[in-house]
Amino acid sequence: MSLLFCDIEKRFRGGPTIRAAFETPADRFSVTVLFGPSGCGKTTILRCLAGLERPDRGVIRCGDATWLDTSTRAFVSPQQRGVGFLFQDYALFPHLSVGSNVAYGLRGLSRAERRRRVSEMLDMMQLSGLERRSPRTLSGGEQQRIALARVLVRRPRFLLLDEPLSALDTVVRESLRRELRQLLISFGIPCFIVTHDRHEAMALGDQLMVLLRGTVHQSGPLDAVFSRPANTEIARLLGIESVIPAKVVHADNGLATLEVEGGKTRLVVTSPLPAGQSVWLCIRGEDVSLYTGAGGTTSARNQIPARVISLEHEGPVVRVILDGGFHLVALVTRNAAADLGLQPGAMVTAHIKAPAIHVVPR
Amino acid sequence: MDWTAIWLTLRLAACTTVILFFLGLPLAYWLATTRFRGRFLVEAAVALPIILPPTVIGFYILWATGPRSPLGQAYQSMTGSMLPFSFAGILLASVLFNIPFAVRPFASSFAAVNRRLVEASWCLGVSRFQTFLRVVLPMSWTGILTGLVLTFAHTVGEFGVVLMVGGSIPGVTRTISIAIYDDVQALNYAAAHRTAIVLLAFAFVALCIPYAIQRRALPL
Repeated sequence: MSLLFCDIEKRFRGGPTIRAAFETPADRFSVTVLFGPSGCGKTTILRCLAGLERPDRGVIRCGDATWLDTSTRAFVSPQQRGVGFLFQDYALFPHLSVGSNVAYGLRGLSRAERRRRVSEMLDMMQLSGLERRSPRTLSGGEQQRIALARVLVRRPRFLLLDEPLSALDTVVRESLRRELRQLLISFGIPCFIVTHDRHEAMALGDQLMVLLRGTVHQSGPLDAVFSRPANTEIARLLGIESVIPAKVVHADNGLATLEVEGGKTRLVVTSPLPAGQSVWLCIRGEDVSLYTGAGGTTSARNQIPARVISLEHEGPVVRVILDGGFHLVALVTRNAAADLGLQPGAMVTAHIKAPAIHVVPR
Repeated sequence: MDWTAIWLTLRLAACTTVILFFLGLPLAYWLATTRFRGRFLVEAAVALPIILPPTVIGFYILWATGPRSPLGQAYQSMTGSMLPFSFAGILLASVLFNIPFAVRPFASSFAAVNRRLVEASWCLGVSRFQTFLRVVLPMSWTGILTGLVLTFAHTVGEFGVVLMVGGSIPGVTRTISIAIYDDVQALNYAAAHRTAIVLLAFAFVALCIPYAIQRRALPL
């Protein structure tokens, strides 16, 4: 198995020192999201992988090739690395047509072969007919697809995407998330995506790396990181205590019934998604209320019997980690926890109102 | 009209412009992209001719290329002639004196090219030199044309440096502006008038070109 190995350190004068050490498979599709607040060094890491930035210390290896080794002064230029970089503002060449933009990086091919590849790529990206247009006259979504086409037509080993959706307005952004994910899957090239938007991270990623002040604080499968943040700082950054994989089993007039993956639990949410759609369910800890004993009638559509696994005290509130067939976190006040007699092993019923569950389609 | 002087002037201006095109582009691109901390020193040196009196530059060129200087002796042993009071001499002076008029517009238009576009080109496997030709040059042609027009026009109107280094040898170093000076000295005002009005019209038309193609203010 071929690996991308990265262990780098980059210092900025008057800024944080960026440190990143990780390895990922280089020959298998997976989207790794670099997630963190702005200024935490996400983009710098991406630029180091592309060769646009030189780390002060470290090693980057891709398979057998050493891209960077500061101890031997080895450095492979961006031209030689064969990675595709999608810039935040797409960086389309304004003096070239859409077709010439896409053909720009195709060298050493016959004219006919080049034309064939470009038109094939434009077809795949639903850009046919725009070949002669100037990219400046096209919408943000179209510009993004041109930039992707320009990169993908060279069949890169890796795809690096820097905040791929941030240049778009909010309305198109959400619909383009799913589209982008589908596109990345269809090309099957391993990707790194930088984002500071947690919903974007969820919609696009498989693996998550959380960065804070220039350092990778936690990494792993997306739902695992979201469900089990390593510390309260990461939990606060992720903002959502529970992320649960599920599938829509029944859709009815804006209300959807979902079944949690690997369990029998069913939840009701407000969502227009059709049956069969896979989703992430995001539940904030403060939206989960806990009851002991038999409750009366409640407006909350979701009542989940659960067992308390552990309690974490954070000042006036307590994070209650629950097992209700899936991992669930509730935030309650210290007094409430005492009144309910919460302790590990206790049985409770977790109530969640349907509109409090945020649904991110995958 | 002094056609010999006009022909000489056009030759001098054309040669100066061509030389500064090839010397100025790399220097300007280096200035626009380098992270070298001493860049300001080079920038200041490049801008010197703007504020330095032509006599100072002319004096140093004479001093550096005269028969007693190593440079002057080397040139003489290679070519058998001297730089001062020759066409090659005023060409050298004119190239040095016009560096800022070429390099500054070049550099400011290179600096205005979005860095991301250059990096995008590199990541698409295109070499630095090819990137310069295929992305940077096409996007900064207005600045380059401006620099070339300014250089040409400024050379046509040059007086002090040419007089210091070249004197006023008809057909060799006597340019239009020197011809006007000689005419006035000789109280030949009619001839001076005719040449001056041509120069005035030329200068105005030449300046119209960069102002018409550039939306940004000129860097000079």
